[in-house]
Amino acid sequence: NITDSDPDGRLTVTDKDVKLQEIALAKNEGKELTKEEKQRLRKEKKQHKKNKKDDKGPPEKEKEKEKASVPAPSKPATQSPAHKAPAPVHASESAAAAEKPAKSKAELRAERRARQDSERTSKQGKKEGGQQSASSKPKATPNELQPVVKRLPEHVQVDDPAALKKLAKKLERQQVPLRSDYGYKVSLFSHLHQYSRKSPPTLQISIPATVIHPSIVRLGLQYSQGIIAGSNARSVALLHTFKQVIQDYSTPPNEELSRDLVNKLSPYISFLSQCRPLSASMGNAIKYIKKEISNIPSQCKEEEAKGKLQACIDSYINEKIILASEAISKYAIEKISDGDVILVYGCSSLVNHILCKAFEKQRKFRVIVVDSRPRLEGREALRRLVKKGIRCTYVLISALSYILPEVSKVFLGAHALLANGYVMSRVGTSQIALVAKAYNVPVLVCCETYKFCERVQTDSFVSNELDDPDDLIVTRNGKSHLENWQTVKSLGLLNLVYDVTPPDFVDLVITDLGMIPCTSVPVVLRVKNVDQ
Amino acid sequence: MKLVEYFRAQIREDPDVASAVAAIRSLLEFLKRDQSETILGLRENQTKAIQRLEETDSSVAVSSGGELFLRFISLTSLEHPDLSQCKNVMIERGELFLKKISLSRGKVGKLCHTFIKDGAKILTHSSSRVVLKVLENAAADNKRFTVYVTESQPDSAGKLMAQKLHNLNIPVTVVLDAAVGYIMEKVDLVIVGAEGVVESGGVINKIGTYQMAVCSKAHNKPFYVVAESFKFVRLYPLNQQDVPDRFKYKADILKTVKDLNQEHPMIDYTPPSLITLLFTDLGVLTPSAVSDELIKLYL
Repeated sequence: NITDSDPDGRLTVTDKDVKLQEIALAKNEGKELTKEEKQRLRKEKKQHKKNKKDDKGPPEKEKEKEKASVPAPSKPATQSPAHKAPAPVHASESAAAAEKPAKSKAELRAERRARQDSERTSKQGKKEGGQQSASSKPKATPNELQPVVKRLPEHVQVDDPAALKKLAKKLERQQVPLRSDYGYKVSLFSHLHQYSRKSPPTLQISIPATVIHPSIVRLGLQYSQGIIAGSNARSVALLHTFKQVIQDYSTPPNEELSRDLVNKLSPYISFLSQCRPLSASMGNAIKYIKKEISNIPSQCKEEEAKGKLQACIDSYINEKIILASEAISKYAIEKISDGDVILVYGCSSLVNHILCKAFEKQRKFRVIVVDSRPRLEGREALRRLVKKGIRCTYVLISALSYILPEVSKVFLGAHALLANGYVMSRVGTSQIALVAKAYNVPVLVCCETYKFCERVQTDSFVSNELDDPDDLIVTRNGKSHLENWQTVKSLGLLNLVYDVTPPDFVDLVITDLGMIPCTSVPVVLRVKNVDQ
Repeated sequence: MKLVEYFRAQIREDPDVASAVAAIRSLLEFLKRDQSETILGLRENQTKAIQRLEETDSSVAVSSGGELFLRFISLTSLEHPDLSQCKNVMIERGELFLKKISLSRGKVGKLCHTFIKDGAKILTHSSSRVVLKVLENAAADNKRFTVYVTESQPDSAGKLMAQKLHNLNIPVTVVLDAAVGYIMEKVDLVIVGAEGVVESGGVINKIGTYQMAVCSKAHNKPFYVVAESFKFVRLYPLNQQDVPDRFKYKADILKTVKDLNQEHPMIDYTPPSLITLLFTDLGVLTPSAVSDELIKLYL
């Protein structure tokens, strides 16, 4: 029982935390605390608050006020303030919480011991003046000792059946169809989803869709089929669709717009992430919208609120994407000199914009476009640049070390910039950065600040996206090799979408705030948080 | 042109002062004598003055010091209706700035001399007043060390440095610029000054510094840079070519010579990957922290 006192006769110290935890446990187990018990709890809470105020309050006084039935020996006055064990309440609670008595007792015992240890050390270290902090110290340690499990995002826990069940339940609650994985997954990446393009989740939605707005359904289909690709395009499309959703939204009676609209958006976001995992830029945009919605004052009329939100979204797109790319072009053009040979990889809307602007400003340069299967996005970039009139060369990534001696600069786009300075971008980017470093060619990454995210990653395995493996099937001369890859048991096809480049390979990051070294990304994040 | 004369007079009177400090003193004096009627006029005149000073002395420090001075004095509320009051506020801030930066060399010296251990052999490049201050402090702390200085052609500034060190009773040897690789195995650490510290954390300094940095990296010797904070400049060179021409050559050469390809550049750029630590009056920084400090200074 938790009221057991220690062999050295010192009082078991219960913290407010433990008490609250007990209350939480009891609540969670669905036991109704009787009125009496509730009153007792309230009294004890007040008591604890009082105890904190008078440091040197004699333990006896507290004891009397607390449940007297606890045979608690008094603590010597030099100890830090004794927190009472509200034993009878706990006893009744633990009796009430009959389902898991062993767990609570064992947990409490462990916490008690840890707290006593910490109190002993804090006593030795601190003097009387530090008593207040000593009382707060034991508070901190139980928290550390309780296993604080940081919640991993669902999309990297696909091989964990418990997580899958949770996801299925959540989607069922939101009435969003669950998409099933397709094909054999390479074991290193079995913790990620792998979907097939032939079975979009939109097939499972009834017409007319009751829960999900039709423009969201359309957007989801466009994502899953790859019609809208590229992080800027996806974010802008998402924001425009949200504008439509807000336009069509009407507050149900007895609800507040600021709270209800956020709840309405959650199933949409779940549906979109089923169609294609959300990108970092989309995540930041969604956070911004949710913040704006919840900041709408309650007195605001619906039309006014809707207009405000639409204006917010418009200004976000304008500032963070369009004006940002103008600012980045301005800085980047300083770095492009006449006679440069610039290497670009894949199709980044920002890098294409920079090159077009530089060409308009009469800079003399030529471009080498590097491309890779299966997406072959470089062809789109090539088309855009040639249309402008820029001299271009086109190679596949396997020819990289062959053409790099000619190159004077490498311009890369980014999907996201992580908090430890790593650059997350299309698969193949880190390869280009690595080979460029070996040839001493400067690598410049262009990225808007809204793509900076607080995540930290050092490798490309932990969090990535697996695309449809059927994309790797190639048809040449009428023969499709790998067509029957599923029949071969030992064969797995891997179609990765992103990879992560370390900051030592990147010489310069051009953002709308200016040119910064790759290691200064956390500084920018800090400055941004201060602004908000 | 009185401004330029004042500037040159400042340098002549006090050869120990950094050229940027002299420049800022001249700018302050110019501000005091300025007769403009509007704040915008004052600022425009200051900008023009900075440009004129840059033409006289084309070092990076003058340019960065001037810009920081201008930002510091105008980054305050100038909402007073009376122009003379505004001007007084600006002059006051200018004096404050000048006082701060005059003390910066002392601060750097205090920070750095603890890194010099007893019996150390130090290699330095060309003549830097900050490095001199650091070595002075270390000598005053009763540390025994020897110094190797490179000759630093084409102006043989290294010999000047050797003379100054000799006057401080520090054992010094002058070595050829070409002997840096030869001497590197004997030395324990390398300390150089800087004309400018750029956003990437790299430094711009007298030509030959880059070589020294590459050598010290190859021999795994620590490469320290000492610089005051007013030398932080908003440049980001990617390689040697990317440094603007107006810094590379002396001011009079820029004005007279047509084909710069025939001239020898006076400075080079050392990338941050070769620098171990930077000692500034803002503290001891790693190259990646320089960008942090720059953001604080300039934004």
